[in-house]
Amino acid sequence: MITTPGEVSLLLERILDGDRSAEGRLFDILYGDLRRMAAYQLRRERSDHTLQPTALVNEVYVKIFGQSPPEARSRAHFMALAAQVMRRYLVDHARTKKADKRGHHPQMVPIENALIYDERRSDEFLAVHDALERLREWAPRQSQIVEMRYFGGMSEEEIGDYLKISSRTVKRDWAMARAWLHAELSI
Amino acid sequence: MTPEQWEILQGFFEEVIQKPLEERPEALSRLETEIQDSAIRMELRRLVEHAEVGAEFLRPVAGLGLFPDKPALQQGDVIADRFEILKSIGKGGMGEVFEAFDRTLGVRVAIKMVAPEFTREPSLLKRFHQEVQIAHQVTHANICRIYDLGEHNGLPYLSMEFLEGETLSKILERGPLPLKLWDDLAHQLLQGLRAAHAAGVVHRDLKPSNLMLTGSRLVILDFGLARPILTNEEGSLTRPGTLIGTPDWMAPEQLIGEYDERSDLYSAALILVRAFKQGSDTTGSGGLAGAVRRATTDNDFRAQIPKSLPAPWRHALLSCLERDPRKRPRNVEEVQKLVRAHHVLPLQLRQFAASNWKSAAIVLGVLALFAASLRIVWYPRQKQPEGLKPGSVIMIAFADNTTADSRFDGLTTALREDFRQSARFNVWDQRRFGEVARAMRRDPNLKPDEKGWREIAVREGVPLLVFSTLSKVSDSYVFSVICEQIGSSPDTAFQKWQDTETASGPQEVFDAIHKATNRVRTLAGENAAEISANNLLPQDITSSSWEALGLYGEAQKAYSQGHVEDAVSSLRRAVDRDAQFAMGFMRLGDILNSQNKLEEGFADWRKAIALAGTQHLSEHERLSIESRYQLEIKDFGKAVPLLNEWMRKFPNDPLPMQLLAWTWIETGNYDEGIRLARDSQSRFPPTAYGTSVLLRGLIAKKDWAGIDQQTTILENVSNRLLAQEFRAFIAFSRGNYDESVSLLREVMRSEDQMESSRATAMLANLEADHGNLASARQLLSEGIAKDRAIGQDGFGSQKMIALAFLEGKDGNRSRAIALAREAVSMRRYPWVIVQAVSILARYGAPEDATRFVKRFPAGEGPTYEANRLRMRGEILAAKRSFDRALDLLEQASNLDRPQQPKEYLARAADLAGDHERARIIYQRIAEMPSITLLTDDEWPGTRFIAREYLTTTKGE
Repeated sequence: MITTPGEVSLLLERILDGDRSAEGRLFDILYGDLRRMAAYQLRRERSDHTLQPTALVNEVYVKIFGQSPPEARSRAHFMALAAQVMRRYLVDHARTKKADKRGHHPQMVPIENALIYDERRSDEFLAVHDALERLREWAPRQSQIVEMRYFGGMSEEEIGDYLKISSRTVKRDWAMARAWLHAELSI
Repeated sequence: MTPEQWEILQGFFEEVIQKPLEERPEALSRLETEIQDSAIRMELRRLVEHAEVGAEFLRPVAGLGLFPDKPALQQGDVIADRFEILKSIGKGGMGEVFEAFDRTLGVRVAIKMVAPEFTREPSLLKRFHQEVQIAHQVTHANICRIYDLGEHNGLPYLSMEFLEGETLSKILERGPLPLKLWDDLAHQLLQGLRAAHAAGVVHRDLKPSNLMLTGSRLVILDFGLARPILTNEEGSLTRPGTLIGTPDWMAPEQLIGEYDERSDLYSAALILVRAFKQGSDTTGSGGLAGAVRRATTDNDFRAQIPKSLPAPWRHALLSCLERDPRKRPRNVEEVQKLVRAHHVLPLQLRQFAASNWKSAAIVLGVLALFAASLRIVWYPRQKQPEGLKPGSVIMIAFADNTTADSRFDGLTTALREDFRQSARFNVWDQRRFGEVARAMRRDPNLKPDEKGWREIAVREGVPLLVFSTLSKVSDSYVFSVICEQIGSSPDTAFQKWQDTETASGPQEVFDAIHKATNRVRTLAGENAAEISANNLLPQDITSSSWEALGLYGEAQKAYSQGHVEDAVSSLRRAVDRDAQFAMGFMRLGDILNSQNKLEEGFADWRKAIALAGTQHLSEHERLSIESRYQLEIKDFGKAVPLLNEWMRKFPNDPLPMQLLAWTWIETGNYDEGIRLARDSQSRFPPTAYGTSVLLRGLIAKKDWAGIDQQTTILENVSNRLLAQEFRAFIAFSRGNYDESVSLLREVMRSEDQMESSRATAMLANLEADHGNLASARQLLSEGIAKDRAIGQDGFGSQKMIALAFLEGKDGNRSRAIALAREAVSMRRYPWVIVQAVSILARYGAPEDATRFVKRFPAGEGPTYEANRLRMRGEILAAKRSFDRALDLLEQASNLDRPQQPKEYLARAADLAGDHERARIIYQRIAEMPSITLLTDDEWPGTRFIAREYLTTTKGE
């Protein structure tokens, strides 16, 4: 059900070497894994339990790296990618959920469409996602920092590790991006 | 905006932000005059305005890190340029603790990172800071020193004294302490307490795992770090609120939310007693029950404190363990005076003891807990937690009656009924207990313990669990309620509320129950208006006689174990005790009806309904029993407005919606029924009943897509076989005769005998409808034998009557008559009687028929009336008084589901020679939707017979 650790590690190495296509492939793998695991969880759990997508990614991480976490740089890359996956995933589902809201939605629906998380935030996910897309045009680094922080929950150090900048710079960027987002979302 | 502009903007932004708030407007204005680019200028203003954003905004989706199990800090991380993390020491309730090296001072320290959940509210964080500052002022050898409070990555952390040693709880695992060591530690404990109390800090959560022995020094951990969750602004506890910590070591007054220095004394004394006497009992004394017991009974610790302890200590400990804080020593000094004679403080400690402490006047509760063995996770919050959403289910665990007075065994009933009044929440159906217990492989006759209840709650998906205890203190009673918000695992309850009420006598216990229930309802989210709309007293809506309630409880238990006679007799005794015990009558009626003693059953129900008029039932129960009664006697005209009222007043109860949907479909209003059933499904979790009602409606409307969807749902919520039966039926309705046969035969072969019996009946019906009357007869014969073998008289008698009809049609009149008689003797169900009377009348035994008519119960309502008319009509038709017969039969048809064509009317018309009329009715019968095949008060093969009639009389 989960991709082999070897495959993922290999891809990570290639990513570190700068292979962009490896990044795309790992993204697809992670995304697929996430959905499969979510479906598996849902079959086991009752349909009205909230599912934590983050917990799922955690499981993926643990299954891949097990007890021996990779060195910091690989981990940072993995997490940055996971942040992207998370973002795509949450946004996709927020959109599906919005469509579902019209008319009644019975509890038993095709499993993948019924993934649930904190409903109140799904509008937030969409709004932030859209805003980040705009921000990316003139401030790509800030946009990425927010993605990693908000969707990925990475710390300042980890972000700094990945972007190869100091955590102080991350802090400054984050402060400004946050102000901008707040302004954007307050409209 | 371009990237270049953005960079410039950032420069300006940071310039303004660096200034303190007050200076920003001025700095902003100044810059604005300098900036040429208007886009940058406006954006700068906008950003500065939004710069001070709360911590809540853009909170990471994942919480702390994507990988919560990954430690927040790693070896080698450096905090505040000063603390180098060495390793993780452990995880506590509040956050994780690390060993670190302080580069500035060159010593080892402990760093406690506070998990973000605890600092979500900015006011809480500020509080945390303030309180830690005060605790920080206490410098004493026996208190774990707090050095510094800082922030790292947005999260607060504490640096504290690093201790190497063992906690008392671990030490005691190996056995009790020898006297000399015990004496030494006891004195140190007192010293530490004294110093802290003098600084105005109270511990609140003393327990063996908070006491550490490093070398020969005893250190009290987390001093001033335990917090009451509900406090008013000044920080004093004025009302009961959330419990903190395990109750094992708590002082009695803590259960009602009061706490001061003397409480620390109690806890300390308790720990010391246990440490000396029985080292391994470090888990304290039995959780909540133990705490309540200690709080409510006059414990004789005298017996528990060993004689080998020196007399002054025994005296001191006893006085600290007084239940009433006023009887305890006023402060630590007084205790020390009592025992000082027997101990000499080492010189250096004495000096330490004399060193600086302030006398602040504040009594504090500071932050969370560091539990070495995490049993319960406490999440401190400033305001009350969010309530449950409407429609949530609350599970009431069996109340714990510790008074040794068996008349209070009815406690659970009173409590449960009080909760069931709520229009906002639903109470978990206790009748599921047996099924769930068996599914969990537990003995359904055993009362579960706390963890067991949590497991059940998790399994059933119930968000709130309520435990309660009744204890006695000489003449007074104490009623305690604890609610737990259930998470996803039975090992953690992540939110707890408690309430304790006292009562001076048995009748006042009801009031205590009521107060506690209202409190819980408030905490769960009902507002005052909602509560007062449904706020009858438990003694009114059940019984004010504890004996009667006890008997009711007995009856419930007996019934669940299958001892129906015992249940009935207990209930009869109960209503003898209290003639106004409406619920008792209601339950009696339920049981008697299910035993087919309908006369008595309905009589009891009517008594209950009458009593409901004088508020001897909660509004919820009143509506429930009134509408169900009308549904039972099929007086739909009365049932519908009652169901509507029930729905309106209790919008979060799925049952009235489903019952009303069934009623609409039963009476042919398919669209209404479908709409309502769908509505119910969208608002509540789907149930087998609700789904099958919807299915029936959809089948009537031939909505194939909907049927497919609902059948899948049915499979998921009920058993596979039931769904399969529906599938078979659907196949048949669509004309896939073979498929339906094979599906039903499969169910018939299954091990579930009830479903097999039902499938047999259904197949017989379908076969008859298809024209295979011989197969139908065969199936019914075999089915009857099986039903007899498994004791299912109800099913058996229905098959018998169906078979009787078919035999009659086939010309075997005596067989038909014999079967009809036997069916009635098997089960005197009114509808069986009606059909038997019909058969007897038609096939040549009108005297028997008349006799059987007398067995028909004296029920009220249009359906009963209609059936009486029908029976008389059939008998008259047999006697060839056709005019009168038709008259009566017409009346009957108009009273009972007038839109449905009646076979008995068609037959009588034909016999009377009015073939035209017969054809008209038979035509309508032949066109009836297949769903009518699902009801069992129609003859099998009626449509087929109608079609036959139409073809054979075509020529006329």
